[in-house]
Amino acid sequence: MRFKSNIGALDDILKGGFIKGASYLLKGHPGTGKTVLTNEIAFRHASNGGRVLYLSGLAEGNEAFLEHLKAFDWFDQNAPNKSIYYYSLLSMVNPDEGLESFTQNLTELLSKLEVSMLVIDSLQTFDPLPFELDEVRIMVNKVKAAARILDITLFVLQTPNITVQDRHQEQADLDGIISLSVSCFQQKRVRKIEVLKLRGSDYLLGPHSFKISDSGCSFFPRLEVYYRDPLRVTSDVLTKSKVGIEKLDAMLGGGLVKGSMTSLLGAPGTGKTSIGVQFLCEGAQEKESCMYFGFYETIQRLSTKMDGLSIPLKKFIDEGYIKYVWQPVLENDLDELAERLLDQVEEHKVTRLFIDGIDGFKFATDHPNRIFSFWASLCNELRSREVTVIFSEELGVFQSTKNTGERELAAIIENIVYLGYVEHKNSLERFLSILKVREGNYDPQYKKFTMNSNGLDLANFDRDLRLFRHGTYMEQTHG
Amino acid sequence: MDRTIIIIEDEPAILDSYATLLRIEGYKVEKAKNGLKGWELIQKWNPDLIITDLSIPILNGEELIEKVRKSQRFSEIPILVLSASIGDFDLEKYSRVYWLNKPVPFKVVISRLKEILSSE
Repeated sequence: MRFKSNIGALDDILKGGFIKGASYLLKGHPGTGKTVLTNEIAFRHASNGGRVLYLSGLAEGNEAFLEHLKAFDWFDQNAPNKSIYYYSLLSMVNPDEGLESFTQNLTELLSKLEVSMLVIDSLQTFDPLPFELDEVRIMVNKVKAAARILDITLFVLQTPNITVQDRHQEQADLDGIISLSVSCFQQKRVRKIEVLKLRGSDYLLGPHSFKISDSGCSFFPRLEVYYRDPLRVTSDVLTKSKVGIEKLDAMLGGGLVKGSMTSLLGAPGTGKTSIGVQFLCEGAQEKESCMYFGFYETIQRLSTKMDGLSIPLKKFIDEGYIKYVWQPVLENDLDELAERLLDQVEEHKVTRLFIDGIDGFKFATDHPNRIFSFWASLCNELRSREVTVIFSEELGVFQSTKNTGERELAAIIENIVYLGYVEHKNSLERFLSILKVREGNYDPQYKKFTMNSNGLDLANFDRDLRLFRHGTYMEQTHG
Repeated sequence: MDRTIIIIEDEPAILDSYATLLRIEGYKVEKAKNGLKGWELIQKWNPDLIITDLSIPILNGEELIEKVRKSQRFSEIPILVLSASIGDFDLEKYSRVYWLNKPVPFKVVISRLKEILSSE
């Protein structure tokens, strides 16, 4: 029988929650969130009718400890001494009587209080006491046995201690081991949770991000394992979604296949955002539910810019056909971004999505090699939800190909539209070309791309172009 | 007068926990880690009820039950078997032998135990 934490996706990581009557070791260095998480589990358990005994080894006393917890939304002033009992761990241990006496007193207390959850915070409380590690191990096993018999879910917290051999968890043989940590990537710090062992249950493998805020802990399962098996199967029928630029749709053979992924690859200012927004407005015109998911431009700035191109973004936002989701490209978490995006897609039943741009996700990564697998999973999930997606991908001004392994991304997307500049006399002109369309024929010609108050348009160049240096293009010179 | 219970279980942590919890409930408890020691305690204390696992060393649970039932003195003592499985053990062969499938919450054990003792 499961005992749900009711803390967002933590129950998904545990594939259904904790197992009632099982024992768990939560280990992690100071500041990794063990105590906050366990208390949130305790309060949420109590709010569902559970009863908790919390044995705290904190020297500051339980009153001061509870003061810290009051900042959290889940804190219930009425729970302590009513459904959550805070006892000092040290007061229950008498070194002269040994741990046998502690175990017996604790078993009696558990029976008397009729609790359904027990927390020992933490094993390190026993370190300064004159007990051998074996004695502590036997004590933990006895508490585990008593908890099991009384159908109590046990949480034992442990801080790895460099002065004492870190053997508690191996010796205690608890049913589950959960590790909390803070990972570092450049200047970024991300809280991580990883289930290392869960006897008799499956779980989401590997580290997952989590955050602690006033509302409590929020968990973001790693997208690659969370959505490893997309629930829905995509339709075999290839129907097309028009971008809304007549000549581009013609080049694409009638538009983009529904449920496909398209990269708008190009230098700054080449019109990626404008094409993406045009694609959303075309869907909105057909009364589809569309979404802009961006990192760079606020709704006001982008609406004004689109007004100048006769693209009625604001109108469709006001009418509710386009959902505008914007977040600054600061210290985002990759999985949190994915969850936000997929939640919005689900909530608004989005069929067209423009992600502006993929770099917002790249900046949020906490591992340099992760972006490919992450993006592949996100694309698969969006595809399974039959969302037609365009995302912008930034290149250098005169860069035609990417220098990194990100080119692997080309393998997992259906279409690539390439935007750039061509040097002409003393100025630059925009061009657009299609590099790849997985399903069907397409027109690969370079077209002159214009953006003005009449909208977006394509035209043939009135001169030949040739490849110049590292992929930049310039006017063909004859003779 | 307190009712006496003999409990036989090879896992010390579980044995101690049951003993503590049964004492809290007001029973006099004697505990044994194997069937042979259990049989010695049964003879010594003449208990009101025996709780035993089947997988216990030296004298296993089935052998112990056979021994108890063959003895005229203890042939009517109720026996509560706490075991994850009874395998080929034929419960029907004996009277007053009851079984609870482990793991089982203590609440269920104590409720069954009281029910058995009140029917004696």
